[in-house]
Amino acid sequence: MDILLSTLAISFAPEVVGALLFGSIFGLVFGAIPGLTYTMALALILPLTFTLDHTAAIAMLLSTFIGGASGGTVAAILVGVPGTPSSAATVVDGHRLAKAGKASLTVAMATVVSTIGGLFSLIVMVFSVDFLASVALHFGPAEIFALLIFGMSTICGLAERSIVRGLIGGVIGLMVMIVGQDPIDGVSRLTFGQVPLLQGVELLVAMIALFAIPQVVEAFSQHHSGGETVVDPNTVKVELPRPRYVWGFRWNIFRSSLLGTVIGAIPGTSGTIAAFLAYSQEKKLNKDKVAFGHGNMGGVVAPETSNNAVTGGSMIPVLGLGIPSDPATALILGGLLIHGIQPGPLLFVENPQVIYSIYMLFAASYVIVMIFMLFGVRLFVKALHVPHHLLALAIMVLCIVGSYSVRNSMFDVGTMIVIGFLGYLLQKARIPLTPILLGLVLGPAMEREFRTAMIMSSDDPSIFYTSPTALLFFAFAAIVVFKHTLSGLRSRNNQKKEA
Amino acid sequence: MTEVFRDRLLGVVLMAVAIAWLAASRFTIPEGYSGSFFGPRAFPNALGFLLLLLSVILVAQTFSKKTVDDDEEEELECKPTFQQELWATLVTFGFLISYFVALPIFGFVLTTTLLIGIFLFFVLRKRSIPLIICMPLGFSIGLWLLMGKLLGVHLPTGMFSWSF
Repeated sequence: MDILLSTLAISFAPEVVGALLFGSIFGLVFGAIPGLTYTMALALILPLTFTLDHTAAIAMLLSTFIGGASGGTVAAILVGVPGTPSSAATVVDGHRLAKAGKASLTVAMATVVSTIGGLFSLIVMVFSVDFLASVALHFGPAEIFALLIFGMSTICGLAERSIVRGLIGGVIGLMVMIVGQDPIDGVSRLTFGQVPLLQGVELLVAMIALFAIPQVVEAFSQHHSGGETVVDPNTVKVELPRPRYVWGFRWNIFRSSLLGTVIGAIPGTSGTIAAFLAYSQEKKLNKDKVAFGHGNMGGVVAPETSNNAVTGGSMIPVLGLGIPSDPATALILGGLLIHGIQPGPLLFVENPQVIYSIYMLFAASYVIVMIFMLFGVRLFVKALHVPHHLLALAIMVLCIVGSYSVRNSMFDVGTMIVIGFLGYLLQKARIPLTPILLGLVLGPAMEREFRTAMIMSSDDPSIFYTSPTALLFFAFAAIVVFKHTLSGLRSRNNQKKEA
Repeated sequence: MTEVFRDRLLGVVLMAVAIAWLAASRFTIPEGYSGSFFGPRAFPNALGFLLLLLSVILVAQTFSKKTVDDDEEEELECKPTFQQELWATLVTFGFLISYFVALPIFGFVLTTTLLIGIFLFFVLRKRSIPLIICMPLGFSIGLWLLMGKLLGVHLPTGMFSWSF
């Protein structure tokens, strides 16, 4: 009890609270601007923590991480461009809800469920850090590959009207990520001797291009045709979700939180995978299937809860084993090591105060970020008052700046323009863009894990079917594909009967 | 252009892309050093074949299609015409390409101010002086201060290395 009280006093000292506030705002701004990520924010803020006390340093790193994870929602919902890769799944329903005049409710709801997801993952982290860390260690390349196949199977649910078109989109996404250096052998692939192509296509650049450019073209063509929808400032209400409204999504929140926490605990996975899996899972379970994908709040709640639950999940291997799950947690781990904190099982025995302060600061960061976001909603929705064609002009500049700032490379800006044009053409050909994104996100990891597994087993495929975990994920994937194919055939038969 | 024709055209284009992809994978990607059967060519080849198969299925489906779905056409009553969409595509990519060319030469602030101003005046036909002056200046200087000064994100300074 004494340790808890002393930790509480240290964790909420003025210097630490200042660090929490600064980190939250810094992370939120980075998350909200398309092209800037919380990994980048963490890399930039890390040197600032050197002069701070270790508790304040942890506070700054955690709040930046959490602020960044939450900030991507604003751009995804209001502008239709994901601020971070993990908010990409939110665009589908979130932006349509914003267009329907529910922007503030959607942003506020996403903020509340993000906090719930984050705090849920914290509770799981507190009680099961040892257990989940040991489970996560059993995830080898074969198991992660099976999990990624399960992730890819959700294309069937995201394919809108035609599974074939959805699969074509997924394959195109996978193809884009092939260009560049091979992940295992290091040879160049389809670069045609062009050195800049060796670095491959940056995921964030491709995402900005796919989501933003077709939307910009649409805004200008609507403006030119005189059919631009002008949002009446009086119709954009600042509306916050009531507890009863949030309670209505309790099972969605619970499922997505659990999924996000578990996915986050597995090294090599990310919030983007968790968000898409949660979205797909909710789409299957939601009774209102027609509205799903066309402005359903469930389609915002699921990915937002899940991608924030990943933050707590991803801290489990960091704290329990000293293994980072992704580049962001690697930077946090680096920050902890710089301040003389060695994460791992011994930390819980030798220095429980640090662990308690991490838990407290984690919770405090979520609450601070939620307060900032809920107060900011009034300001955020003002973006909707700007005529669409002027907003489209601003989005074009942000696309250029965002693509450039990822790697300080003009090559990325060129890539963004080319992929944007390709995305526009594919959208015109009615190839859904979300499966392309899924291919882009999962492609590199899928290939790397598959080939690593095959090298480990000396090309023996039994590595995939002798692992019960891998078999379980393959079975899930098969069920998803079978279910969607069956429902597709049924709806086609019904259409024929009606005709 | 009917929907069936559009789908067939798309299928044929995708088939051509898949064949070109397979050829490029076969002739430009070297064999790996890991000794595994699944080397650097394995995934590109598999994806090429998969795209080929899917595009064949897409074309085959058009032969069993009897009716044309009009759902999408009904969604937008005042759908922009082909010319209007072409105009929007040209101005969007014209702006992006001009920006891409000008950014390394003139730097971020100058390029952004000039191009937004030109776009507002000539393309969007805005004649409000406060808008034409305030939006380009506010946006470029605001972003430069936010990104370059507050967040520490590098922005291009141009060939003449202005201070911004």
